[in-house]
Amino acid sequence: MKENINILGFLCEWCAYQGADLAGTSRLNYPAEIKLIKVPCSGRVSGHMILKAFQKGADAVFVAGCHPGDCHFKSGNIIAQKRIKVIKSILDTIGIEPLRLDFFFISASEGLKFKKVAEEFYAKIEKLGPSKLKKWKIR
Amino acid sequence: MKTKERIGVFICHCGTNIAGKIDIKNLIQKNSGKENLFFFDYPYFCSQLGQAFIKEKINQLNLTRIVVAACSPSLHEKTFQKVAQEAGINPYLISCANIREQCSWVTLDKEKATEKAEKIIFSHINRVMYQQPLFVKEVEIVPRVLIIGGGIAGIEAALKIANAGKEVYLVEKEPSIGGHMAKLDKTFPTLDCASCILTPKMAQVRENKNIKLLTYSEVEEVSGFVGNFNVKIRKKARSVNLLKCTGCGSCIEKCPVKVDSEFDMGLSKRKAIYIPFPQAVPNAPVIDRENCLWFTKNKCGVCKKICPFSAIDYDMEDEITLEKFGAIIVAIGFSLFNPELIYQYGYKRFPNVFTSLEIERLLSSTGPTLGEIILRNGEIPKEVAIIHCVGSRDENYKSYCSAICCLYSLKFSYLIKERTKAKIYNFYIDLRLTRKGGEDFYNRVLEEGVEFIRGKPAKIEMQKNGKLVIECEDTLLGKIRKIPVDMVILSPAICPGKDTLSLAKILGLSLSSDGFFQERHPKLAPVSTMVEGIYIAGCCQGPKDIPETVAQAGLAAAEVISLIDKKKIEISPIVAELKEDYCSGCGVCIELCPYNALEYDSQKNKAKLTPEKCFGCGVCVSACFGGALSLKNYREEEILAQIEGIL
Amino acid sequence: MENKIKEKIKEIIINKEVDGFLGLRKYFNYVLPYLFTEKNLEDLEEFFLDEVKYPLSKIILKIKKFYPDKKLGILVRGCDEKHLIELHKFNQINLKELYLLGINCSENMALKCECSSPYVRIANISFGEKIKGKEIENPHKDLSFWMEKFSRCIKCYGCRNICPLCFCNNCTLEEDLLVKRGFLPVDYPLFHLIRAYHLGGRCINCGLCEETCPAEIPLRKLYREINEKFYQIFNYKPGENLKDKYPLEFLEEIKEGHGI
Repeated sequence: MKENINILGFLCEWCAYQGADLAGTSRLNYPAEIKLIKVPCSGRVSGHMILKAFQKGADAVFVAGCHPGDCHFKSGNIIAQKRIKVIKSILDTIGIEPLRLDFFFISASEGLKFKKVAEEFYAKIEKLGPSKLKKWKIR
Repeated sequence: MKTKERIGVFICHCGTNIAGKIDIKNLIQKNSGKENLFFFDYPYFCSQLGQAFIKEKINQLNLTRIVVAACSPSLHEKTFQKVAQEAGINPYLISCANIREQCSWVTLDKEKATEKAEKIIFSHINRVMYQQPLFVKEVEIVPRVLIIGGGIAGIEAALKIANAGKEVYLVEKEPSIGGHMAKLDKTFPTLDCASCILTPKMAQVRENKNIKLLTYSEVEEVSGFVGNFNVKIRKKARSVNLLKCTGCGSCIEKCPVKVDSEFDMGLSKRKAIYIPFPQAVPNAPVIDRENCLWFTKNKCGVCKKICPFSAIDYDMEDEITLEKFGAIIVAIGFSLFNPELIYQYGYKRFPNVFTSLEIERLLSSTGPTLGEIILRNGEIPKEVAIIHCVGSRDENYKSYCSAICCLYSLKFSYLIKERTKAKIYNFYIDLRLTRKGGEDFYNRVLEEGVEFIRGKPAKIEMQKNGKLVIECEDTLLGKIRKIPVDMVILSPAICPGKDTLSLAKILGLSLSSDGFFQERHPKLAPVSTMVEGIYIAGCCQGPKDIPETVAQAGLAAAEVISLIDKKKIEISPIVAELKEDYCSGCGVCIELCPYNALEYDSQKNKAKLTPEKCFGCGVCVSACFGGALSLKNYREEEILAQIEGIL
Repeated sequence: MENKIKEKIKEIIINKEVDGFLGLRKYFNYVLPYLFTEKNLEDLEEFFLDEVKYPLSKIILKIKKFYPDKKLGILVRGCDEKHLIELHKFNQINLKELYLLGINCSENMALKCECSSPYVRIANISFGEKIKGKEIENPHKDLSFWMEKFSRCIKCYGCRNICPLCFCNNCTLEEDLLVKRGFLPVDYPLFHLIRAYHLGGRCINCGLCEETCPAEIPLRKLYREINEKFYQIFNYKPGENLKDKYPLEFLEEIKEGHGI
């Protein structure tokens, strides 16, 4: 039996979350395994949240924020990208594929883009398979 | 998990939008019986009856926190917060689970959709357990407005706000208000006299009892937040007592020092004691202490001796005032690109290469040539070239279009032809005539025989007889042409005003990539900035002509009036909080705040947060490894609990 | 060499250059950190430079907290110096108010510590010959390898307690939602990755954590590999000088235009 892929997305309230809502109102479908959490800005996403997500069984995590220069809070998406780079390198160091973490630019009007991004990311992770971390069933 | 809480979970059917895909009955049945969790469902919770239902259940079962699983919080979070508040629960002890836009509407399979909805709901149940009650703070707004910059934008905004009954302080760096518009002769396309439309407004500013005019003054420091800005203004020493001076001008006549006039763009001289231009407001002179013999060599002193009203005061010193303002409008205008940077155009190397502002002064009837267009040697030019886009649309200098050069270049073509009968050439790349009357003016100018050459001149060379030869590829003809002219007029790029960078630092404003002040939203909020309570208007936001400047000034005035009329401002409780005991003073958070809400307190060796400046982005919170900073309603615990529930 | 050091310490205490000097002394068969002051100058006889590592920079922070107005001196090796540079960058101590007595490590010590720079650079005075350090080994990207090591963790917090760069007043590793209280084994790799995330770009590879860990988890190796990544991504090395800024504390700068 194929094990379920679990993908967690952190969406910024002002751009990406609205984009995902737009995908909803446009009735665009994407895999149900993708679950979303709202944050005020992509800069609010801390390394702890991402690492906890992987610990708790996420096979992949993505953070979606405003396009460069459009951040509602000026520069949150810049620091968010820097942090993602660091976490990716930490995952890589212990042998978790850094592809499992990504950052996407999605504006409030990009419902279709959200669907495409979600589907592509899901396909990529499906190919990689479930996170090897899940073999060690830690609580 | 705390068990004293009683959590009500209200799952909305939303007609068939949710119920049609998600098996709500099964979900509730599966989870009923869980301790302290109460599940309910209803066709439309956003309806009057639905809201009443929620209130009833809260009171009946003494619920302490609620989760509403329905449409996106962007739609109804405020609705349900109000319902909770009316039923006696703090409005921030609710959490909205999005099981419509992000679940039922985007998932094909019913089973998967139900499973996902259950996970989402439980993640919010987890989250709401960790949420804290929050309270909106009210702060009084100081009913006084500061406008920095006394050009047409500042003047317009000041008049609008003063006429609405609010107190305005208009601070201008130069000795007189009027800005660049006071230097113009006629305006495009109606060719009305710029002074004639500007000076009545300047007079109105002088007469208006609600406007306090602070000329020859600068803003040095700004602190505080919207509704309560603390501003330090430096009133530079004019050396002339404004209360005694009548503007008779006797002092100016006798002054022995002559200096290049800034108002006339260096084309004429002024005295060390001077009034910048005849219609100046205030109509009183100022002493340029750097060139005055009294201040540099302790000699002369004639102006003081001769003043019949004893208005000259050499001992006057700069005065610093501290004032409180509710809102600030920045309207500091533009500066011209320096064409010296483009060596091959010969500006300042060849005598008859002029910039547009210099030509405005020549055209002006009160200018250095009293309105005559003449070369430096006094002769009337027979051929004049106007070069567009000097520094604009150029990847070496400014990449943007300066919006007004095509307009005034046509204006110059018409006026100069009228006055000198010279042959006029326009060297252009594109013609951007978006204003009303633009195309008609262009046709008129074509009829007058003005020649338009599509090409950007490669260089200008001066011949021994003083003729300037322009070498340019005429792209429509496909040939390189060398055209000799007597006078060249450059249309330099409109650049940000000289004080833009320093003022941005003082006010905490950001600049866009081209160096102008950054607006909050390019379409829907062109005069607001990321700092609440500070607005921008006119060319300091980007190159624009006079009608657009006036429109922006009006919009900024409307924003300010509507802000001040509120009398009190509600500060959102979703702001950061700093636990001083936890702070180790590492300083990592300080530079990350886009609003300068965090400072380093070197006495305590800890960070200091001004919550009134905080907009609630949370960037500092995720940077703090010691957990000293937290963002209300988005605390680390709340989100971590949400992650646990959703996976 | 030890006598010269004792003389120097005595000198700076007597001429009031420092009120107290944190060094090492013999205590029966052990060598422990010790604060030499005017009042116990005779104990300088027991000063002993053993090839043993202590988190002296962490101890000096505590001393500074209790005696904020006293001038302090400290014995530093290459690693201690780097610790102090990083602590200075994060406002925990003012290097300019410390007297650094530097020791360049012996060949033996450098080999034992597998150190890449066993010498001091900015100390007020240094003793011993400067020698070259050992090179870094290759990364080990195998998840099974790491998980096996992490599984042995007993949540003793020894690594955090001994690390001079762990100066937070409130430690994230004690947050219940991240590291559940009262349960063993600890949630791994989350515990170790959180620590790695916090120390990335700050750890200067002194090895105290690995030495302390009762479960022999190769912590130093983990942090070293992450530091290498920091260098690749941000071109940043911790502990080098006071000017370099930790990459996660600033944003990119806005460009200024021409003609202003």
